[in-house]
Amino acid sequence: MRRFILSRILQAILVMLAVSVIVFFLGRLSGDPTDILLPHDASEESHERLRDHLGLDEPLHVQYWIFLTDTLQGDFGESVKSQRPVMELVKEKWPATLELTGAAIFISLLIALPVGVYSAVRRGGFFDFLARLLAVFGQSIPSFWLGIMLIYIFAVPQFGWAIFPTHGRGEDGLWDHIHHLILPAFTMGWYLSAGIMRLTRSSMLEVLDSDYVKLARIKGVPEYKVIWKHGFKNAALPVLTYSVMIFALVLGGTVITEMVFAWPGMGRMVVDAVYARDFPVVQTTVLLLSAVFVFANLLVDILYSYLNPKIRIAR
Amino acid sequence: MSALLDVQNLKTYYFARRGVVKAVDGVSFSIDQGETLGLVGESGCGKTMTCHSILKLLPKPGGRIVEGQVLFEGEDLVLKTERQMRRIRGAKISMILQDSMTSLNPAYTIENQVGEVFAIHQKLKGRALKEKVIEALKLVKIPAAETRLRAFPHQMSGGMRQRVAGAIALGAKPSLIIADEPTTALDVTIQAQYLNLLKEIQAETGVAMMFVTHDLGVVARMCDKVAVMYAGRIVEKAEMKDLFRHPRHPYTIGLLACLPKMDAELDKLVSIPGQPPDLGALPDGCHFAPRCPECMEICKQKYPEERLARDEHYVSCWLVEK
Ligand SMILES: Nc1ncnc2c1ncn2[C@@H]1O[C@H](COP(=O)(O)OP(=O)(O)OP(=O)(O)O)[C@@H](O)[C@H]1O
Ligand code: SF4
Ligand SMILES: [Mg+2]
Repeated sequence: MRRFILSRILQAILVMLAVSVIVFFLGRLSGDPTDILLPHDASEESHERLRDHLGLDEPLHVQYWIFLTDTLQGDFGESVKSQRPVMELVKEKWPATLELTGAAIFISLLIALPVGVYSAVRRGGFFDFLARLLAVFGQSIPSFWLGIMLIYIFAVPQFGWAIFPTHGRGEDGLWDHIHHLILPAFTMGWYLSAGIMRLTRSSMLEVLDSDYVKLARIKGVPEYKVIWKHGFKNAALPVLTYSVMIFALVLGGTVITEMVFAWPGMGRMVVDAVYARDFPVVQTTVLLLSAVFVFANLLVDILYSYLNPKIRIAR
Repeated sequence: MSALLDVQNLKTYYFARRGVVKAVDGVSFSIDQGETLGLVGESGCGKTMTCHSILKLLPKPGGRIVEGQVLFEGEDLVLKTERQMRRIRGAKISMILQDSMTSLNPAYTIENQVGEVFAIHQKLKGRALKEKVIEALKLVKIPAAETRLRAFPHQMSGGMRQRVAGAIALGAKPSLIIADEPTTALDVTIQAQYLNLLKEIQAETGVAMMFVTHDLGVVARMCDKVAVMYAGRIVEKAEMKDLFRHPRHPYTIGLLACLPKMDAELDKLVSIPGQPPDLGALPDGCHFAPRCPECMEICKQKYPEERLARDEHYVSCWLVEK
């Protein structure tokens, strides 16, 4: 078990190294940042001086080495454009994106797991029927419409109750954060929960049909334990993978959406930085995003080996 | 003395969308303390459904006991609530399934799965629980039992896994175990070992057995009594030796005709031409009529009531006079 986890961590480190190489050299391919930073008619001499100042005059492999060692020491450099430390920029945008995505996944699991499990347990019954109907709604209602409806019902006093704020992120304290999160996270989570619920249901159906669930009942195991101990632990594997993948996808999707709508989050920042050839910002944000993916994968692997002991031995 | 298990006119139907499958259609038999009954018959004749009816673990939704009694230690299980049944399952009646590859939970250790029986029925914990688990593993002669506690099912051989299944079934000292083709998934040599083991444990503990099988060789070796099932009903039942020497029902005779090849499986034998009827659309008369070499006019019209052919030997066939 310990060896398995160690080898997985080693793999994760190697992946991150590869990512750092790729992001570094691809960035350099986009051209010379001094072309953008300096006025059109700047002299070759001032280009030279700025390159020297930014450390771009060193050979590439030396630059990479500096970048790598600095990054490992937690020094992510300064934005070429705004002169501010990259970490400061990231710290401004990152939490908003992560918070919303995380809360959305959490809410979708909160809805989807119990509903999926009991929908499978009561296969063909009224609850199952209702749950599947809701799943169809979940996926066919456009998120923006659901969001607007929720705002009408829960945030506008003329139409419903003004229980939640209509927009923006919480600022003071945990409760304020949660208060602001609930509507947007529910809007996003509702949509995601349909898929997770379906997968949970089908995975549970298969497991509930298995001999070991039958044997658990033969042993006289109480029904809730049959379902959660013997059933769900085996059914959770595909659900878990799917949820983590969704998390990564949504995170990526959020970045794209922010980009399209000029939302002042991470995504927007990355794109701006790419255009400005702001290498430190690009490198750090891409590295961070990949770190999330890699870490998510690592987490799945470790959870997997806990859920399914066969994996520990086989690899 | 009344029987340990007395099943009377049990009818278990499966209500599917397409219609009613009469999987068990008026079955009666009894098992005494410490006795072994063999239940034989072709695939799909309702053997497993009969076993599950006794434990009241029927496929949901759709499976239902519609008539009859299952008297266990004098009490009718059909009338018991799910809660009451849970106290009986695993403690007084338990079951060994066909394939231990699929019947043990891949996500839990042997200790956890065997221990569950004692945790539920005897409320044991910690040290005492562990000792009980080791004792149960020793009962089924698992070598170095202490070292197997932390093992997972996939780390054991098929034979060992089936022994673990045996430990789960026998651990809480039930008075009846139902074994639904427990050796079909094992190699021939391992099969023989496993059957011997069950015999030994039975001699030691006095547990009664209901032994479901395709294999008449196994019946000859394991059973005191035999019930032959065909298309949801028992067509002949008798003492084991009596049945082998004096079979009366043409279906039983057909089965026994293959006896020289004792360990051949019934399914693979072509000695009885034709297919068993669809349990969703049974013929009016004798269910075996379409395949019976002795079929008469009356056979196609009326199902033959069960008759006593000789002592403790019952047959459902028009050939047998009252
Ligand atoms: N879950 C189910 N859904 C629908 N029909 C079922 C179900 N389980 C059993 N049946 C039907 O009930 C009948 C009896 O099945 P059962 O499993 O008891 O046969 P069996 O004698 O144990 O056969 P085998 O030797 O193959 O195990 C079969 O004809 C089958 O079609
Ligand atoms: S009742 Fe008739 S058809 Fe049925 S087994 Fe007897 S002889 Fe054959
Ligand atoms: Mg069966």
